[in-house]
Amino acid sequence: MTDPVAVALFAAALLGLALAALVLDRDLWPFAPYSMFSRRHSPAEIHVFRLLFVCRDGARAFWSPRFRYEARYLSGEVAAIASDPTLDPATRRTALIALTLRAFAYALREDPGLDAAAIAELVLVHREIDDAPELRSRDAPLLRLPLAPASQEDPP
Amino acid sequence: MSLDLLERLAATTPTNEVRLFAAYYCLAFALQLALGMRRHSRYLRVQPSPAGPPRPRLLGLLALPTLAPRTTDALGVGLLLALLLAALGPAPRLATLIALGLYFAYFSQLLNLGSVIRKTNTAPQVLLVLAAAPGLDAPLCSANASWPLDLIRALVALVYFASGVAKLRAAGLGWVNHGRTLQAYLLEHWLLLDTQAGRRLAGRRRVCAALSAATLAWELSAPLLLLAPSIAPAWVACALLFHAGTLVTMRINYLKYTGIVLPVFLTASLSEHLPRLAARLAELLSLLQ
Repeated sequence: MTDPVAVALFAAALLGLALAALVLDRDLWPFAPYSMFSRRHSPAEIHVFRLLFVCRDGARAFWSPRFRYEARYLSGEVAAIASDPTLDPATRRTALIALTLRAFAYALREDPGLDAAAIAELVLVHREIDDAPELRSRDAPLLRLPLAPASQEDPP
Repeated sequence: MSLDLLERLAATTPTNEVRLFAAYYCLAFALQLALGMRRHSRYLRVQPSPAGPPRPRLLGLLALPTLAPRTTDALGVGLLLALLLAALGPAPRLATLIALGLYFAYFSQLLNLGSVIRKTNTAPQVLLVLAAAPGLDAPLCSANASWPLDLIRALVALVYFASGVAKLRAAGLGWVNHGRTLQAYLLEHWLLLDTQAGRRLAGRRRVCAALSAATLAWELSAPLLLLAPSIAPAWVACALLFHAGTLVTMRINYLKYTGIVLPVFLTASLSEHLPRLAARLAELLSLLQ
């Protein structure tokens, strides 16, 4: 492209799209407003949800997906369900159970080494920051989902 | 590299910066792609995600079709070959255009993957500008229009400037918030991803305050790169430090795909120094011989 008018139009189109994404604050892939981390926050406002595996031997481990954005997506979806004012408690619980099971199925697909039989319970954990100078986490279960009846004994 | 070639390079003025940058960029992108393809392939095979957002649409309008993992793998291989041909082959313009098309086909399948989301956005912009650049298929030692690299610089500067403007729009200068906002984002990542380095940094509030102010100032200063290119080395060094910092503390890696375009800000000085460097090397080689 050597014609100055064509070059000017070409540049204006590309820069215009980049500016449009910025002004509209909207993803116009491959142009984006890059508004991640733009909100003002304080540690006390931060809270996330994570899936915790409780094993039969009592060991506990948070799910750390290989594709780590899945942890963020799951947390966002749980937050959306948990804070949806249109849901009654039973519907909310059903939605959270369905989401937890989908996440567990995904975790098994993603990590073939994960032993489903060793896991006794899935727990959705609400995590927030205790805004004392130590900045510790404060965890509380939102949903407990036993994968086997409590009375069932493992075979010897 | 032979002495003869070095001597010819040393005597070469001017340098075709567009061709030089295109070769570098396509090789760097091909390398990053090759390093990521296995992971991409594995990601495609464990879909659907339990809670992922819908994939972004092309220009916010056009939803690209979902492809089978095998098809996507094949497109990835095609993209890799096209990038290599664009860098080293006899028809760089055609290869760049093919790479551009394959970029959209391949990466449209991966847009919700953490290592891809928004991080490859500069790639199609760079490839499109290079495909239209007059100097792309000209000899390495020929003068060419500088607008393609100027346009790429403007597009990349806009990425960083947009990020700064988004912070000002959402929170004003209060975004710095005595370091509390950065603390919050670091701790959010620690809660989600167990990023211990981020947790340690969050415990240093004064450092967080200084880094927040520096980040905002650095992002908003991006347009200055276009007006005062002499600040480019310092600005790019800050960019590399920033991206290395987010990688260590939040596991956010913009170095992989966005970092490789940053040398565009250094091309002018590189082309000035290249003949001198080649002359020194030629001298050294002749002494050794």
